[in-house]
Amino acid sequence: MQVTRREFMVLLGAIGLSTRRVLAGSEGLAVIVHPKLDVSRLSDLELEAIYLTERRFWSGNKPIVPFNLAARSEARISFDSAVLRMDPDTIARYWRDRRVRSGSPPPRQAPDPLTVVRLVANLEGAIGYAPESLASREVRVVARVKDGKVQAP
Amino acid sequence: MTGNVRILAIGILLAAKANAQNTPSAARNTGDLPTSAPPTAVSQANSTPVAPANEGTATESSTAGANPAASETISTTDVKPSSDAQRKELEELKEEVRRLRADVDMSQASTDSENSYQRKIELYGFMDMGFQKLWVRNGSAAVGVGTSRASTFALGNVNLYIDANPNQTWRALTELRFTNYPNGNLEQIAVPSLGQNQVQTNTSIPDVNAPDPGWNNVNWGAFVLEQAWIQGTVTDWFGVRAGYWLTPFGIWNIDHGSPTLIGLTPPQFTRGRFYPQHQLGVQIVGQATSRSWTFGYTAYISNGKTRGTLDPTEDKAFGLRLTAQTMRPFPMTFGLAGYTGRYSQQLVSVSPATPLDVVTNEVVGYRQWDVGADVSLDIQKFRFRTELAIERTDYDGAKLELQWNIPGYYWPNRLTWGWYTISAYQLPWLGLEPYLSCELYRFPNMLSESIAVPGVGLNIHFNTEVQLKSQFTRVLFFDFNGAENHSAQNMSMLATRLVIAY
Repeated sequence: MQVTRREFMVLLGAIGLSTRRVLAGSEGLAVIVHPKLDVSRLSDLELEAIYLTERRFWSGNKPIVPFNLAARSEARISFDSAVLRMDPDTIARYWRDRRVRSGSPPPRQAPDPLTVVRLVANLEGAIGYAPESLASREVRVVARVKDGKVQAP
Repeated sequence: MTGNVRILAIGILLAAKANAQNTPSAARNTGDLPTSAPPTAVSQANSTPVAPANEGTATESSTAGANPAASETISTTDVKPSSDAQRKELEELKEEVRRLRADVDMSQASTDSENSYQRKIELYGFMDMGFQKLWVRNGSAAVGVGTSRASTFALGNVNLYIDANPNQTWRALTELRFTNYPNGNLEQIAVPSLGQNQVQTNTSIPDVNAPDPGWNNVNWGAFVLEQAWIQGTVTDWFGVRAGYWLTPFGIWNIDHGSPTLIGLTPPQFTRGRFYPQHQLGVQIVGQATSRSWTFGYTAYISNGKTRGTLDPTEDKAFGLRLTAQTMRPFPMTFGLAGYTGRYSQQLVSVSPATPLDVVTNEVVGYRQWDVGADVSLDIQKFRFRTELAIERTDYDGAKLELQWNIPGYYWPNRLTWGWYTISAYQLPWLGLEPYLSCELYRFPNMLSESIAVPGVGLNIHFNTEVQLKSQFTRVLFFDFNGAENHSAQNMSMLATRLVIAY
């Protein structure tokens, strides 16, 4: 199979884009929303309500579309610990019980932080979190999670 | 372009494989693409800093060993753009990669807009089965319900949820419980002195679809509809749920599944003897958050407690549940609930002389009022649940109801109540969670005025999904004034269930 230079470059681009992002030791998480949302800052309590799907609408009744990362990923554990104050087992039990009780389903999981950033940039009601270095200008940072605490953006 | 897309797909697959293997071996420059991060280093798992690559050069250098896709050292200096035309072409390719990658991302999340990103349909549920033993004296009334006093294996619950979320604001949920009922049901107890024989349901039929029809038998079973409703949610504080739902009264009736409940033996008042376990009607639901608290309400109108599924009268049942819950400093929920409804049992009959003149008469009619309160606390490894329910029942004149269909014994107007508490603590070893339970139930009837049900149990949490639950309970029949001795009806029960949630 002949691979042209053009195809080779596309291949390189795809590989580069798909590289797994991991949290650096000192890097925090940025909680991001779609830039069109009228939200400039979210507190830890607001984030807790959103990520437990107790709060499901933004002001103006626009549905909130929260995105989580994979259950045992480093960023997810860091986020759940700071915002929900739960470890992975507790979180798993929480959602198991919520399902049995017919409560609202949990936030969707995105495969990696880069996907979260793209989804948040594309969906008007979306909220997610990703390593700070990934928070591009296409999303708005409304809080930061660092050293186990939720901080202002 | 087909070739490019093919190669892109290969690239994404390779990258996905790299992700799955969790071996981020070296930093890669992704900042030169419009939708990704600014050009910055993405560290390894060991946080080794790597210098960012130059804008637009797409220079890659990977040296890791575990991932074949990443272990190859790739030099792309030979494809460095050398002219404006090539730069333009490169930009076009980058844009195309960005667009295709975004498409892949979106399809991975089943997303094309905020209104349709939701999972379209999900299947989940739980299952439990186990072993049980009832110790009761031979003449006990408990044997009359058809249960066994022998040690026996039992099929507990096989529940399947079908959860459809076509968009962000609408949801349809169905919960089915598969059973082998009605096989073995004791329809009628024998009364030899009256010439009445025992009648027991037998669903054994020849499996005529088998290759040797007539030689194999199967027992057909049925499913119990636990819930089937549609909900539209307009905002956090207002939504409408229509259909067949679990009565929002207290903790047990909503928790209702073996993975979620602490104990195995349901309190007496949750078994449909007070408020109905399920109702057919319309709820309005909502909640509001204030600081760390969430305040919720559920108000409903329904057919209430009915013998069939349709309401034979214009009297509708009403109910309300209010909750206040928080996760801080630890998860806790406080609830209040109320229900009122009128039960009507109608006799539809004709006279042989006028067979087309169908007459309906109410033979049983009563109104009931139920109120309840509940508290749920989860303090680290300690779980505590308690509920109280009180019911007042007033019959309409002589439209009384027989006690367990025994001729001559009617339920009187009455005030009844039930209370239970259950406390569990998960030990740091082997997932062991011992617990204590206690129930008091005032329900005056021909057996006794009340019962007390002390119990002890042990849950073994193998993991989040699987538990082995065991409970031993002693049921004591008594009168509060001690006027009569009802201890002959006392019984003990041991039940154990292997539970899985999926």
